This record gives sequence, structure tokens and C-alpha cells, in this order.
Amino acid sequence: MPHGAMPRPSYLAADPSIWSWLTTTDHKRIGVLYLVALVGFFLVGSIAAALFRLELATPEADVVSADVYNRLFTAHGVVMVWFFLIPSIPAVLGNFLLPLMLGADDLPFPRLNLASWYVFVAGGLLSLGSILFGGVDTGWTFYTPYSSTYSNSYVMLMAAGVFVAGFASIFTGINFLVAIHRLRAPGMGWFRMPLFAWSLYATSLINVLATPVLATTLVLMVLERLFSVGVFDPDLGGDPVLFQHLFWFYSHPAVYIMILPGMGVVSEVLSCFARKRVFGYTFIAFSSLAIALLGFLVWGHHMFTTSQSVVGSLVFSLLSLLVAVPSAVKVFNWTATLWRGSIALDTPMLYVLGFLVLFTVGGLTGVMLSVLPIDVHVHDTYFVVAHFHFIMVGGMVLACLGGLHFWWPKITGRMYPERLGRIAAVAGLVGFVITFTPQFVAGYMGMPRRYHEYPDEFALPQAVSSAGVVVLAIGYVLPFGYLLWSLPHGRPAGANPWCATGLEWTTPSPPPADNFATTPHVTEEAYAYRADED
Amino acid sequence: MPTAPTRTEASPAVHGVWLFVGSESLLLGAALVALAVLRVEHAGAFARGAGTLSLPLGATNTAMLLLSSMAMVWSVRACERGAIRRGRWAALATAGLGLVFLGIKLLEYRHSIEAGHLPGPGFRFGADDAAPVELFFVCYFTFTALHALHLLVGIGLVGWAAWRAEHQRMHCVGIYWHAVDVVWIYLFPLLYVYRAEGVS
Repeated sequence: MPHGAMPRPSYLAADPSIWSWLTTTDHKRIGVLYLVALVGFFLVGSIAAALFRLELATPEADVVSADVYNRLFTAHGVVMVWFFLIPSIPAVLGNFLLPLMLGADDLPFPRLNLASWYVFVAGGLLSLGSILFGGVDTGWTFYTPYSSTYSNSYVMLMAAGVFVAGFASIFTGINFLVAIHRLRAPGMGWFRMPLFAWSLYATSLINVLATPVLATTLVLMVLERLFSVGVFDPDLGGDPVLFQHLFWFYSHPAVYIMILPGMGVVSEVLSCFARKRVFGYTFIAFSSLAIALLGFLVWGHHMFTTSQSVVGSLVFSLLSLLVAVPSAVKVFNWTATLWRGSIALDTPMLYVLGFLVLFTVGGLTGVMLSVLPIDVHVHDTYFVVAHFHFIMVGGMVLACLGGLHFWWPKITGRMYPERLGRIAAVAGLVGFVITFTPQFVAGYMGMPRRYHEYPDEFALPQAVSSAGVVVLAIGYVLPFGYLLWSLPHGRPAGANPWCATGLEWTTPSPPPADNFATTPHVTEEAYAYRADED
Repeated sequence: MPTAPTRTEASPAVHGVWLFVGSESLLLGAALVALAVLRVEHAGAFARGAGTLSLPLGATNTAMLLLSSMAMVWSVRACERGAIRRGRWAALATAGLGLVFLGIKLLEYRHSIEAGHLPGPGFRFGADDAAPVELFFVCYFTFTALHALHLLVGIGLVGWAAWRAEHQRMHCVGIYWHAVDVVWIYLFPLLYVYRAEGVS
């Protein structure tokens, strides 16, 4: 427990000038800078979604033209994937918390960390520029030869933005991997690290190894567009399926970037609000690594309906079934953590319990999609859209919000209003279910993706889905409001308002710039919650 | 008390550079996959294009880079032992050999451009299957130019490391230099060795 002499100013109070923020190398400030940027991108992606959900509320094309509709769902996909979900938890919570959780003063490469934020913002500005000029109509997947030859939209500008932003992920990944290898406090062996650190480790492996493949793929696509080099366009001697192989070799591991950190948050929050150590720590740690590894081997399941060989497809199908196993291992272990726990339903816990249910549904539908005959039927339908939104929104976004609420007192020194928090969590959960469950139905009935008008037979599920967006929006707008309100008006939080374990809770809220007065020495296992405590 | 690594070996920066190199190798890997697919698709045309490249010059360049990597290792070892002046000279030798490589590369580019092999509106190769052959030269120029750019950056880094010679810094630059060398060791056989001579 830090004691004695002078109270050190918090990282927020130490030099509050804008210049000091823009030139900071403090991992905590960089986390906050990312948070601000990400809220902006989430807003852009959400507005795009609101607009196309408005169009989809009725079967007729009565709100936007087909071309504008294409640009809206492309903007939504690009922004939400690359400029919200991929950075989300690692860049905000990971940057802020990882050094604290490890007992370190900062990440190993603080200037590289700041560079990653600037690179991210630069990429974001390029992509926003593309949207402002009129956007892209290829879908976030940029399939060739449409993107490389035929599309009359700002493909190169958008691709440039994504290319640049990818390097931010790589820089962050390098920082996290070296931090976990080299900066753990004395006494913190690998298996005393919080599971959040394990999840960031696995995520960083994927970030560092998969992102470059996307970079090269985008460069090749732009080369073809600029110079008519025949890489992907069959008319020029290229192969369009080559693009899909290269694209999905990155983009499948990318979806694990977009869930592993959320799983890490679940472990932290669940154990705190069940007052119990996480059941099967080693299994959960290794399952993160297994997901990262297996995730590189399944990309062909996005291509079952291309000219990919049936034998190849069967192999990908088997591997895709296998990759579900470590995720299931986590869900079982989390459930066992809850069993006979002393459960408190605070806001972060509500989010995380919602994650457990919705991620399971999303994951099970993923298992369905791994099965060839089912996928051939529902490929490119709303079934797939619902599947990945259950995981990315029902899973990851809920984990983002849960984590943000859980660590808000640490980051800001303030408590958010708990009652509003619970209302927002429930609104988000209910809104999500209303929005996305009907999409499974529509998809299975055969409604294809990426169509702005559709036959009357799909009217009911689409109308319900669009109505759900209103409730879902409450779940996002409310936290935006009360979290901001809490900055000046929230109840001051102590060092450890949740009585949680973990080194980050041993620092003041908010922490001083250099984190720890003296280097902590770790003597306990992680999650040393005792039944007689609290 | 500062938070120091628990062991006294390579600095975290070395760890970081290795990860960066690993990441970059996947950038290359994806490009090599594309090259491989195009090569299989247009095998004859690519072989004929490769036949116009100078195998002796390419082999000489390969030798230059291998020697430069040896000089780099000398430099890192010298700095580790505290022989800073020897480390500096070895580093300058590394950079010098890299410059020789670039010089030879420019010579080769001149030969190819004078023969009309620069992709673009002025491209000419004689036979009527010029389009796939032009694709070979797009690959050749793109891969070797990107490699040369990375080599130039490497020469700059080696020069900077030589100026402020110190073991950990030299070690980090050395990892980068060897990585650029290994890339060439992949490119040389892929672009030069599989060839069909005597057609232009």
C-alpha cells in the first residue's frame, strides 16, 4: 500500500495542456486518446447503420438508392471493423491497464505507442476522407475484380486508410508482446498474470502476424486498379479467388482479434462479481493461444461457394469445427466460475452475463456455418450477418462496455451512476436481441445480404430488426451521456471500489503518471478471492 | 526502484525488432504467394522474362549481401566486446557493400530499361505474348525496387548505428540488415534462376 510523503499527481492532472497530451508517452493517456478517437469512429459507423436499417424497415427502396445503400454498408463495415473493433479493447483498455496489471511503469516502447495513435488517426482520416468524397461501394471485403477494375468509387483512398491503420495494430502488438515477456513484476510468473494479459498476448500475436497480409493484399488490389496489373482480374490474366484467399487469410484471424480481448475482460469481471477465482485458469490461458493458432487455419470457410476444391473445403470445415472447441472451453470454465459464486449484478456483470449468452448463440451458429451443406444454403444471407453480429456486438461490444464500466473508476477516478448503468445494459441487451434475432430467420428463409430492397416475404423480420435499433441505440447513447456526466459529477472512486484483485487496483484512482511508487512483488496467484472476504 | 527486465541479456528493443521483422516477413509472404500463383499461371512467359536478366550480376549481388551480413556480424561482436572502433569500421564495410549492391542493381535496371522491358506504354518484348511477360517485369521491378528501398533504409540505419556505436543498437540494426539480406536470398532464385534463355 503506497504510504508516506507527497501525493503524486494523477496522470490526468500532471500537465493538463493539450500539447502535453499530444506529445505524451504515458500509456494511460494514449489509452484515453484512443478512446476519444474510437468513440468518434463508432458514431460514424452507427450513423451509417441507422441509415441503412431505416431503408431496410420496408421492402421497397424508399429511402436511398441502391448505390448509396452500397456505400452505407461498406462504410459501416470498414469503420466498425478497422476503426472500432480491431483497436477497441487493446488500444484503450489494453494500453491503459496492461502495464498496471503487470506491475510495470509503462510499455517497453512508449514512443512507438504514441506513434501508433498518430498512425491510427492518419489512417482514419484517409478513410473518413474517402467517405466524405462519396465513399466506396464494394463492401468492406473489397472483392475483385469489382474493386480493382469496375468500381467508380474512392477505393484507393479507403484502402490507403486501412493500410496505414494496420501499422498501428502492429506497433501495439509488438509493444504488448514484449511487455508480457519482459516487464512482469518480480514474482509474477506467466501463470500468475491476469487472464486479460493472456488474451492480449494472443491478440497481439494475431495482430503482428496477420495484419501484414492484409497490407500486401490491399497494395496488390490498388496496383491492379492503378496500373491494370493482372493479379486478380481474369480479363488481365489474374485470379479473383486469389484475392479472396489473401484477404481472408488476414480477415479470419482478424475476427479473433475482435473477440479475444473481450474474452479477457469477461474473465476479469466475472471473477470479481462472483467473488471467485476463475475456474480452469490454465485452460482459459491456453485456449486463447489455441484460438489464435487455429484461427490462421480456417480462412477457406469464407470461400465454400467459390471454386475451392471440395477436399479443401472439407479440411477447412473440420478445422472450423475444431476452432470452436477452445471458445467452448472458455464458456464452460466461466460457467463453472459462476457456480457457487457470490454473484452481484452490477453493471459490468450485466454486460458480461449478456456476453456469455449472446456469444454462445453466435458461436453455435458459427459451428452451423462450418458445416458445408448448411453454409452453401445460407452463404451471403442474413444468417451470416446475424452470426457475426451476435459475436461482434453481442460479444465484443458488450465486453467493451462492460470493461469500460468496470475500469472507469480506475481511469477517471469517478463512479458512474449505477442505476443508469443497469438500465443501459438491459436496454442494450434487449435492443440487440430484437435487432439481430430476426436476421437469423430472414437469412434462413433465404434473404441475401447487401440488398436495399427485397420481396415482401422478408418484411416482418426486417421490420422487427429495424425497430430493435431504436432500443439498441438507447443502450449506447445512455452510457455516452452518463459517463461524460460522471467526469465532473460522479462520486469520487477510491483505489478499489469493487474490492477486486489485480495490481491495477492497488494504485490510486486515477493512477499517478509513473504508476507504482515501488515495484510490486507478487506473492499470490491471480484472482485470490477468498470466500470469507467482502 | 525502476522496473528492469529480470535477466541481463538482450534489451527489450532487440525483442521488439525481431517481432517487427517477423511481421514484415508476412508482408513479403503474401506477396510471394501472389508471385507464385502468377508464375504457375504464366510459366513460359515468366521464364522468358527471367532469361533476359543477368545471372552473373545477380549472383554477384547475392555475394555482396552475404559478405555484408558477415561484416555486420563482425560489427555486432566487436561492439559487444567493447572494440568500438573495429565495430565502426565493420559497420561501414557493411554499408559499403550494400552500396555496391545498389550500384549493380541500378546497372541492371539500365540494361532492362534500354532493352525496352520497363512496364508501361513503352514496353516491348517482341513476341505476341507480351502481356504476361510484362507481368513478369512488373513483379521483377516491384520486388527488387522495394527490396532496394529497404536496403537503402538499412544503409542509413547502419551509418547511424556506426556513428553512435553501441552494442544493443548495433544488434537491433543487425537484425534488420540480416532480414533484408534473407529477403534477397528468396528473391534471387525466384526471379533469376528459373529461366528460359535465348529469347528476347
